Amino acid sequence: MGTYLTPEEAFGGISTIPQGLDRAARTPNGIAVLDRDLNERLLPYADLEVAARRVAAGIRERGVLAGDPVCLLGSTSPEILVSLFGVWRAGAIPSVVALPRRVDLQTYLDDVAGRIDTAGAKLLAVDDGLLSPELPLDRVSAPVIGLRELVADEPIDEPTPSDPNAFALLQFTSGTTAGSRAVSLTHRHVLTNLAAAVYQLDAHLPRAVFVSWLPLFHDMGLIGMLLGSIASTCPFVVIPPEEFMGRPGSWMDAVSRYRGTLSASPNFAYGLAARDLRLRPRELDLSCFTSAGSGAEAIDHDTVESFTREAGKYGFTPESVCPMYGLAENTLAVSIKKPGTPVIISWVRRDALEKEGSAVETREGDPDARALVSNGPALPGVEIAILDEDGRRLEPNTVGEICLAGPAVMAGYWRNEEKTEEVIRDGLLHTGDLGYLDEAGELFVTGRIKDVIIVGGRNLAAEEYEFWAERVEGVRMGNAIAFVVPEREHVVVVAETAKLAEEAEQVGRAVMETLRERLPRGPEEVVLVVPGTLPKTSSGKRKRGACREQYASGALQTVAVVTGDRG
Amino acid sequence: MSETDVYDAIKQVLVDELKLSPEVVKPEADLRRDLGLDSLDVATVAMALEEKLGIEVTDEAMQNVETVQDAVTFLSQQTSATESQTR
Repeated sequence: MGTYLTPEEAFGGISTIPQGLDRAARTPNGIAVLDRDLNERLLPYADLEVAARRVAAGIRERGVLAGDPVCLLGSTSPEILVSLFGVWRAGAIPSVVALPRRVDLQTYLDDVAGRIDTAGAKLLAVDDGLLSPELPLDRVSAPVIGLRELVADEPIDEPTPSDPNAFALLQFTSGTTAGSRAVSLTHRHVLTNLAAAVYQLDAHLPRAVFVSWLPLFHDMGLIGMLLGSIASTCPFVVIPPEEFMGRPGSWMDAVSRYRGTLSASPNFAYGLAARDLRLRPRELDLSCFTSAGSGAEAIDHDTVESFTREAGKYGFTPESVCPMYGLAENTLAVSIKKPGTPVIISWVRRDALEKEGSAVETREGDPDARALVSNGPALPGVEIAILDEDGRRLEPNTVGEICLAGPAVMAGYWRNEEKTEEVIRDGLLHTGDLGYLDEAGELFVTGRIKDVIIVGGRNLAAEEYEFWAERVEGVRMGNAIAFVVPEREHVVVVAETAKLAEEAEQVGRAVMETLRERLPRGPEEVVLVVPGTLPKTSSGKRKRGACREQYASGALQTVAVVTGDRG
Repeated sequence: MSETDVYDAIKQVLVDELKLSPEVVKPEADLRRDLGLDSLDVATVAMALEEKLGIEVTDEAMQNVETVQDAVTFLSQQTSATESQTR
């Protein structure tokens, strides 16, 4: 694992997030919350610190103690930032709940209620603008309170929480009804991972300015961008996600105007930005943007190229693209490419990769090759091991499950030992992602397939497809497996049914319909197979990887197939 | 550009960009309720349509569009306005 910086060494002696704010408050820097036209609302760290103490007092008055979970609901605003730091200042554990995205309000409300229960929250603090009869939160098991009401007249009269091993955050991973899990992280986890990430990305340098449009319920937005700025005591420029969606060009406008040095986004946002720069040429200077992190989603070679080309017209350099790999279970980041070094692209033979799981290099532009973008080397302190399905360590350039150990691996899923033991085994966090290391230790991710399906910037747990598929009449309970065909981003659901031929096809259509109704994206294909033929481990766990291989090689004992006729 | 051309362009964008099934894209389909588009999808679609049709499609304009047919009507007006301007 080697040596790594402690938070105290990296960030001037701080051990907890609220201590980080105390330190930032002694600088003239702060947060600028922008709208899509870059109108700003300023929140200096010094003001944030004072306001957070008043919220901490308000929280305490409502009976919330240190160590109690508190959920927050609202888009990015000075008010929610103050509340969030107020929760930390009170020694409580915040969890930011995702905003309503889809029209299906009932499903969303069920999700919120489920998350409050999972967290065991003592309070749900809601942006005052969202408190309306249109968003009925009456089924939530915790008291619901507007953010404004949380602000007490007098600040809290307690020392800043200083225990690095106290819980700092509950981060919901993904998924809705079926897969709601909260990663629990301590202050030490958060700050240790940030120390590694901040130094790898040159964000410890005095000129650093963070620019973000990511929502605060996103780990990269909350930990990487917001807490990264606070810990580095540098300026933070933030655009609420709905403002970015309304005008994606606002992201690069903000980078240019505020001389942003660092931003991170999923791949798709770089695609949107590239398209916007191409469609709307304007006066920008992106030469300042030297750490362009791309993570939380498969990194597409074409997207990197098109962004580099378009942004290059405004002084952006190709070496500034920083692919990264990470997951909430390791706080945030696992590997990051250093700025100022070339992006490493490996052209590997498709057939060898898919059939044998080996990365065989071929010439650039080979039509039978897949261009894989390296996610950089493991961060200091992180040890990556690539394992086969039986848990054996694999050689370089061989695809297996990405597993890891290090100081930022979560304490566990909150109040869920069973799920924790599924992913942390033999001292290693099993990510469920597939990839390989090359001889130089560069990490290549070949698919994010085991538990989480990411399509179009959305995380959907495979369990969710399975959960709903198994509720369709004719599908055997506990006998559906969902996975992605990574190349095409196609979701396939394989389910066992005792029905035959035409009846089986009807079941397949019912599964397709149910999934389309329940999830943001239906699957591309539903395959019905003979009972007892789905691959499972001896303990009865679904082997999604093996199922995907059987699907690819045509080894499934198929009874019927229903396709979504897509693309 | 005729309404049919615009409809085809919209359908193509929904299928290509959002991987929707062609069979679900119908004139009467509600973008959000029936097709499940969220704000990110709307931004993506708006930009792809700008590129395809060569006109500006603002988010504000897209907010008022409910069905595929609404989008066809609105964008057809936009394209013909642009075409007459350039004449």
